[in-house]
Amino acid sequence: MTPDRPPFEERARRLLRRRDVRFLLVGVGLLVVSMVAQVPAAARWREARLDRSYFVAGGDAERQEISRLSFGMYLPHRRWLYFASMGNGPLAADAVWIKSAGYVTREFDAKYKGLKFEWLRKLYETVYDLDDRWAKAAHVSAMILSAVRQDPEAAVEMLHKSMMRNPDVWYLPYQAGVTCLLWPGHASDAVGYFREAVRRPGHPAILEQIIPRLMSEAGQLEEAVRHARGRYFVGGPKALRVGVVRQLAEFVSVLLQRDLEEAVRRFRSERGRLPAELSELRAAGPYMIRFDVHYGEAVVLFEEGHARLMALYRAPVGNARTPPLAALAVRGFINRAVLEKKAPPPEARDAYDLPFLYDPKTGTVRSEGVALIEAQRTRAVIRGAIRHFARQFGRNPESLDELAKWVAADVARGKTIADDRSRRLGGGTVPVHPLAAWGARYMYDPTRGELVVPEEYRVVPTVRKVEELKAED
Amino acid sequence: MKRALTIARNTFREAVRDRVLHLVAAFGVLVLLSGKVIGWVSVGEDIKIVRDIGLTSVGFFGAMIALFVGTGLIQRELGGRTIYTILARPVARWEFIIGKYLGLLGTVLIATAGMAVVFLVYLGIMTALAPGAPVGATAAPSAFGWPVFQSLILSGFEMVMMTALAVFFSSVSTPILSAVFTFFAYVAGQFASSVSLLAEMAAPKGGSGSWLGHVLLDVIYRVMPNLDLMNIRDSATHGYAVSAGQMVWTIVYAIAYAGVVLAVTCAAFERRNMP
Repeated sequence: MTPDRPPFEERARRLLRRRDVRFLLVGVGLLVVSMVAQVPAAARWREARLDRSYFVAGGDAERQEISRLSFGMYLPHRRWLYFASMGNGPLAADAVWIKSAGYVTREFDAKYKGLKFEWLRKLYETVYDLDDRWAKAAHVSAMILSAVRQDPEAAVEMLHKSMMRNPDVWYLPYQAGVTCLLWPGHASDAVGYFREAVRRPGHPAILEQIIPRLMSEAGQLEEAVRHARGRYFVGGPKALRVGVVRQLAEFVSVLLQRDLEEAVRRFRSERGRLPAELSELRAAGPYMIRFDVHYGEAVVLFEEGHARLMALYRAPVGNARTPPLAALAVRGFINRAVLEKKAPPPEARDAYDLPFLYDPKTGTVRSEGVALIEAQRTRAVIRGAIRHFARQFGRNPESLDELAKWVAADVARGKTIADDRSRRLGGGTVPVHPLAAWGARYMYDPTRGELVVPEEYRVVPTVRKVEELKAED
Repeated sequence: MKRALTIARNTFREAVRDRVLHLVAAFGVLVLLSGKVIGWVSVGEDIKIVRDIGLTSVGFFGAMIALFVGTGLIQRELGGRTIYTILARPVARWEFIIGKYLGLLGTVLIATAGMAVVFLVYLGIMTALAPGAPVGATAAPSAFGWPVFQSLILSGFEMVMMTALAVFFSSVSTPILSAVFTFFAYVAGQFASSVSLLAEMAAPKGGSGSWLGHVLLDVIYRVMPNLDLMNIRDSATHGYAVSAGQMVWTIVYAIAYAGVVLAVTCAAFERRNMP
């Protein structure tokens, strides 16, 4: 005879009285809590930490090819490095970074034997993949990739993805801009990167001054003027404002020079000949220079010079792109007195109040102020190269041609990065003087190892606003 | 609970005298201090490397202390038969487990905090000696910034989970096996997020994958210790803090998970036949 089976409630009550069952129930309850907590807590790595490629199997063709080329180098795939470091990606990135430093040094020795930093891109990409927040590593990697491996495409790609991951680091877009600037055919991309660099917090104040210069070198003069003008009105230290005014003067003069060149071209196409002098353009009808509101606002500091040019060309009233002169005068953009008198100035002048030079044989127009400043810069670069040459060979170069050939040979061997010197002298010939059409050229005294500068070219162009700022307490 | 605290106090006294603890902690400090040596060959990134090595050392060696000291804790009592003198008194088995856990946790947390203090002082000195940022540029993340503290706090909660796992394995297995199990649980826990990712990839999409694989991997992910959540070193080293909400949820998870492990340990220990 079997005893009566207790009812379900009784059996359940007995089960619940057991301590181990109670603990298991508590455990289940806590497991639910931990599962719930895990969802929001795991949101962070879902955003960025891992990507699916850690688990994507398949041959790494590039790596195998590189391995074939360069014996003795072994770099495990990033997914193995990540797992080997037990989830400490930054630590694995440090190890690869140190490895890359040794690799660059070793490859410099091997450079002339035909190995050309084949592993470099792979190494740096591995560092990035393991620690994508390491902005400084991406920055240095990109510099080495562009300067040493001469691979600007890889450099910009590296900077671009690191830039996206590090939205508050200014030097990544800045470096991307500089790399684009030095990468033939990509100068126009540089402006976007520069604009992004100054938009980011923490950038040094001097960058505000460098950026318009780089923009102008990228061929985006209007953008450079707009940026510099904005910078001027924001204010800041006097030295910076002086620098901005100098830049504006130069940029505006170059813009005006372009307008004049365009006017000369149009005159030639309509009349079948070049104007004998610039003032002849005045009588030739409404040759409208580029003049929109932005441009007009940009030249507010140089209104006098601009007004003279405006009067010279007599903008037709009612042109859709051109605000009436009277309206501009009210806004103070142009010289009201000039407008009222309707008296055109005797000659077109640039922002430095120097005349625009004109060569009637070729139709070349030059802003004298800009030309003098440009010549001054080239002379400084040549002087630096002469000093470097003398230190290396223990004698002065015999001629500027010899100097240019030496610089060009260095550029060809990849011994210099694409800097001002490489740009101006790297072609292997002495740079052409900006006033060459008027007989100017760079003269050199080999006995003293110095450039000879005639008295008339020693003028340092300046603008009234700079002098006013300097005079301020 | 008072009895559990008494056991905890005794466990703490016993654990701090353990030579293994001193050895692992000393080794941890040594590795931590070696960061500068490695940093010298890193092309100007020595502070970052000191930070990486320091934060990783504190987390890793803390876990190793929990592993080496904790895995033999219960078995030592059973092997030496001292547990009978304890359980013969009016001490419940669960009180014994909780007491052991709290005593071990105290030891591990103090050792981890000690390493963290050495790390912060060392990092402070290194940062003070490092050259400053360029004029006008953003300064490097501070050595004592909140993200570094966040990372150290979460390392502490990683210890909360690791100690619970060590006590669990110690109560159901031999010392060597429990050390092996705890170590593998630690390694697996570091890749919990990868398991979740694999589960997502295993989901049937476009003719590939299977529900079985997806569900199996998802269950493993939910049940395994997700120590990866406690690892915010990749952000902390670059001065990026995680949000307060995320911090709170991670701490809730760590405490709840340790609670689960302890509840299962108590349940298993209640059913255990003493030799």
